[in-house]
Amino acid sequence: MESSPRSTGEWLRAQWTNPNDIFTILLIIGGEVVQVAMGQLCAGPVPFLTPVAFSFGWVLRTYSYTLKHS
Amino acid sequence: MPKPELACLIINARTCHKRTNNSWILSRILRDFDVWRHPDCDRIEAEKLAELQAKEDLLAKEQKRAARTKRIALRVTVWDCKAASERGTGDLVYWAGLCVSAVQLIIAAIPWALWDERFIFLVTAIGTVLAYASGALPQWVEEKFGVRKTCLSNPKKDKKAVFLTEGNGSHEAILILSHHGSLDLEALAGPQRALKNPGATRIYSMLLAILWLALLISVAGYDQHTWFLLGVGLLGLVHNAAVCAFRRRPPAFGLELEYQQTIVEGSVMEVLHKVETKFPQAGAALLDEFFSGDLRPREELIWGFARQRYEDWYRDGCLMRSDGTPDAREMPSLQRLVGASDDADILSL
Repeated sequence: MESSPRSTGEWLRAQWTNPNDIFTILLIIGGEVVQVAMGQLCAGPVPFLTPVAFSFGWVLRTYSYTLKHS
Repeated sequence: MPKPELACLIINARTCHKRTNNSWILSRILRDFDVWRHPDCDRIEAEKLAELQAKEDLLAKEQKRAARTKRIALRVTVWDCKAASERGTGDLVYWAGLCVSAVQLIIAAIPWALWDERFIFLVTAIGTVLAYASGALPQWVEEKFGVRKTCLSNPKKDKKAVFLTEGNGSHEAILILSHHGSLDLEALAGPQRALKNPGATRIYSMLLAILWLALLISVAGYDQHTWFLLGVGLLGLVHNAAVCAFRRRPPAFGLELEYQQTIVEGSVMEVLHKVETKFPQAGAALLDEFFSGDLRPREELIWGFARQRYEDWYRDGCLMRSDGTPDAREMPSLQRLVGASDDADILSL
């Protein structure tokens, strides 16, 4: 027996209570922001320490960098 | 390194060679000039503007016409580069990154404490380690500062002088005087960087890319208390955006600039004339950029004289007077002498 489709309201409520399948997308966008933040903070007073926080965009940034230098 | 956000030029004040800036940090230094410039830059400009306007008002009154609004055409500020290293000083934006990472880990630890759910903490911890590992790549420093040092034939007397400006039509030109052995800013503006070990960088960045992909796969489809994971990511995103927008002072980019003087006048030609008087050849270096067309006959003669004046001064060893001005011949006036019908005053010099 097929389950009845949820109403728009129910779906929205569920998605905003516990968002699904969004983190994967967010991890991909915003690569440029990470790149500029790296440009700002690299070569600071502590060698090898670039305090750019874990955020969305890191995956794209890393792949862009790898492609540029491969 | 990212591409420069502000299109600007680096002009060597001795050789007059001009190049398009490729350095992100030099474009940032110029972009953020209103944050770090000395208060005297604005004070001197305001005083000069008031003086020019008062003169214009008086002249307009005498000639019984409406007074024109005067303006400062170009401001040249001179800075002594006391140090240019490959390390920036730690400012608020630098240290805040560590605090944000700590807060992210605390947020991620909440589901662990409340529901014994370790996954979000694990993802955040691994993401943080990967982010810091990506930032530890030595090539970042090389891309930012990997250029030759300033090399001068007479290190005790001479300084390398370069202009940083947006070019013709802009209001600012920053003249930076660098010492022997400090970072060569003209080379920094070039597109090339000396990379020590590109092969190792390639392998290291590929390894990081694989690890980031593994993290992405692990996180995909996770549906337990996702607001905490989103909160961690959003906090990082907001912090990174704030870091991008933050206006920093030159020491944060490894440059220690000491204010020397401000040169302002009502017209660009007057500013260049004054710059040339104080720094032989520096005014001529800006001439091609700011006056790409024909000059007036008297101006042609003046800049021809200025070239010869610089060559004589350079040949004599770039001597300076005790008041800090060059021990060179006087520059002729921009305006024809009162009562004179030709420019014989320049030809006779």
